[in-house]
Amino acid sequence: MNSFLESIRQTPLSVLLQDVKWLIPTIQSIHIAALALVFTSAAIVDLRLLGAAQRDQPLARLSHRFLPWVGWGVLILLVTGLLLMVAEPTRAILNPYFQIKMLLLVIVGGMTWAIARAAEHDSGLFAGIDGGPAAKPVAIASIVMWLAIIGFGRWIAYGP
Amino acid sequence: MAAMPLFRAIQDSALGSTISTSTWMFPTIETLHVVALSIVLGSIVVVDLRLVGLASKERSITALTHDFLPWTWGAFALAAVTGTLLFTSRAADYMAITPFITKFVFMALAGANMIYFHFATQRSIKDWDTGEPAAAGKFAGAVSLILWAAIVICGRQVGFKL
Repeated sequence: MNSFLESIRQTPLSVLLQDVKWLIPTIQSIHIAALALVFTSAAIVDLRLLGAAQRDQPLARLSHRFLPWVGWGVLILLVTGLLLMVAEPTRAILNPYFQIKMLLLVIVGGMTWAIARAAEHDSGLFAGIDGGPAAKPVAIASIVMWLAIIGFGRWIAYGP
Repeated sequence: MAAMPLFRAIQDSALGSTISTSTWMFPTIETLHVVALSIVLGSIVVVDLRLVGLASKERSITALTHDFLPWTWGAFALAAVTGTLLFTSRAADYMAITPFITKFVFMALAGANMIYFHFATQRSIKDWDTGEPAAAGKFAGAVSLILWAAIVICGRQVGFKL
């Protein structure tokens, strides 16, 4: 594994990212802005599922308006994240905080997709104006997971 | 700068040294700071995109600000508290680097922009609340987006330099 990571570090892209001093901070800034976009958008829908905010807005409308931003935002996060990994290959992949972060992302990503589909059709798990019995636990789990992703993301820098 | 002894005193204070010498305090406070800034940024962007006419067009501006600005203020308060704690741990070091200073310059400008928006549009907003914003609204929205992008960049630069 280490020799594989070392070979990434020697690729032209990695060398470029390491040498041009403003590239990594800029990519990180985009990463942060994108996470703000993703977290806020997901939280808006989750808060609606909890009945805690914008109760006058139908769930389907909020889901339709804000969850696409989660999709695009996660895409930007993946691209910028991948570039950061290429720039510093050993920093993340072997770090348990990073691994947990990615696992949580897969889980909450799947949940968010399920929320989007169910809200669209006002069916199944989220039937009814208040989003049904699954709404509150799912919403809380979603918010907690996104917060944990942010936390583990920051702790990569302090990781073992 | 003349006030540096003050900042050094803050950095060396009991609170400052407790945070800076602890293994977990700074990262934890910093994580809360990132969460807070995510909410500040996200909620401001929702309103600004409406002001420049790019999103949420079916909602009135006043309804949107009513729904989102409380979150902006609440999260800003959390960002300010966590930011202050982070600051105390390395006050003199922060005050010595440019990105830290410019971050607050941009935040002051963002605040001034919000005040400008409020007074420039107070009387006329009912005329364009549900439709395309007046020029003052678009201007304030665009300026806000640019300033907050700059604030994020400066903030990251601070983390990078120290």
